[in-house]
Amino acid sequence: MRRIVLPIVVLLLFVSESIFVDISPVGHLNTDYVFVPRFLMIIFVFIAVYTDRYQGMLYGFIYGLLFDIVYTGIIGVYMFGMSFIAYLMAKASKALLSNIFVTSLLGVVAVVILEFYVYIINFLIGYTDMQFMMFLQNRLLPTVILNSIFVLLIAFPIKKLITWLSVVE
Amino acid sequence: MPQFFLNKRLILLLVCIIILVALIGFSLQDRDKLSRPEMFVKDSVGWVQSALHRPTQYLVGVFQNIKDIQYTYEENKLLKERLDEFVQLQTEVQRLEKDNQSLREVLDKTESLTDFNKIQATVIARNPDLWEENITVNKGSQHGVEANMAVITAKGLIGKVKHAAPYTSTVQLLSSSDRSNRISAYVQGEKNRYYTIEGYDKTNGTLLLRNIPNDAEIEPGQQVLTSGLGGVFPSGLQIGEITEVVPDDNGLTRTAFVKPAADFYDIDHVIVVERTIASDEDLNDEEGEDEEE
Repeated sequence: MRRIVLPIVVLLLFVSESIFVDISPVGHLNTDYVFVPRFLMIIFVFIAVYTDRYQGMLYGFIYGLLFDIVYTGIIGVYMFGMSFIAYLMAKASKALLSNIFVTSLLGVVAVVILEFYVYIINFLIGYTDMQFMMFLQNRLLPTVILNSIFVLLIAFPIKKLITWLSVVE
Repeated sequence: MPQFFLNKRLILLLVCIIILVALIGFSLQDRDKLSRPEMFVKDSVGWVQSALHRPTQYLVGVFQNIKDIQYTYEENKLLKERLDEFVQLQTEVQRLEKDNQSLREVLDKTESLTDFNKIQATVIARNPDLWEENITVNKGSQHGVEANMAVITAKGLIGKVKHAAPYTSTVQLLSSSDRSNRISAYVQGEKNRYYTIEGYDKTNGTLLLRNIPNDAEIEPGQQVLTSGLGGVFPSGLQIGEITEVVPDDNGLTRTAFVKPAADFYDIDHVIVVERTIASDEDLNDEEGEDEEE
């Protein structure tokens, strides 16, 4: 029974990303700033750090594939990116201290890497012609701010949840 | 060097990158239809999305309503003034419609590019990565939705259907930066002029109507509508209003900025438009090839 708790939480986050984008008032303000929710990436980092890295990669793989099929239509980009970044962050947390602040920081770093990675791929396949400085200013900075707030809100509850689930197992 | 090749992880990474590139290549080819597993995944996730999305939309709607009540009195006054005009306009439109119909009967031409069937749909998701502006709606090929159909809101055109799964479909908005997003349009005036909408200016939030000859009389304030000459869209769907006309870089032609009539952010309910007049297959193919460029 408890095995399905985490997948369902992740699925709810998966849907909440799209709901967030749909109802957030940012679009109405007519600004150039783009706030991209990367809630999934953050939770995959937490899973990879607090259980084992292969579980984090598996989540990244499956939900990345879902993300590709349902939202973007370009299969492989998030599937590969999310699992690889979850792996990198788990490795990094082994090398660094593994307390909750470092893990939160790693979550934000993962968001930055993912944004860069997706920007480069979109640039290469010609889906965007955004200049690099524009990308840094209008996309990366607001996205990092938004996701840092998300990490602050969710770090403790999610750590509790994951450790509780792994203790029970 | 042999050490390098023996490193298992590195080889695994390389294989992954090769697979990634192959998959991207597969998804980017011009596909009319999604593969079966993709459709299945889209529909299943769509079910969860609509279950969660509707309550939140309802909640947001409640707050919106509370806000609206504040302005009710002023709006009411204004609307009452407009009501008299409206009755006049309606009788006029009815008369013209009847006129039009009888004249068409005389001509033996009952089909028109402007006729279309409506498929009502609700938005259940939006692409959160915001590179490509896609929304997902809760009607699919089972309800008659097909790829490339026009999608409108009450205010005007918002985009076209990109892919249709059996119970959900993906709509590409006009604000998407995809260069294949072209729409044949005309500018309403004394003499209708036909051009194409090519691209979207993110900083102004306007669509670009390109390649206007210098001698064409295009002015700010004129309305832009779909022409129906692209092959799939019906004619006469509202796109927007011209706000500015500027010369191109080469000086030979001009570009008009068109402020879209519809709001690309606040979208709850949409109408998928199915043209009743059969689309010419040749025209379709030609349009498809144009879009490739």
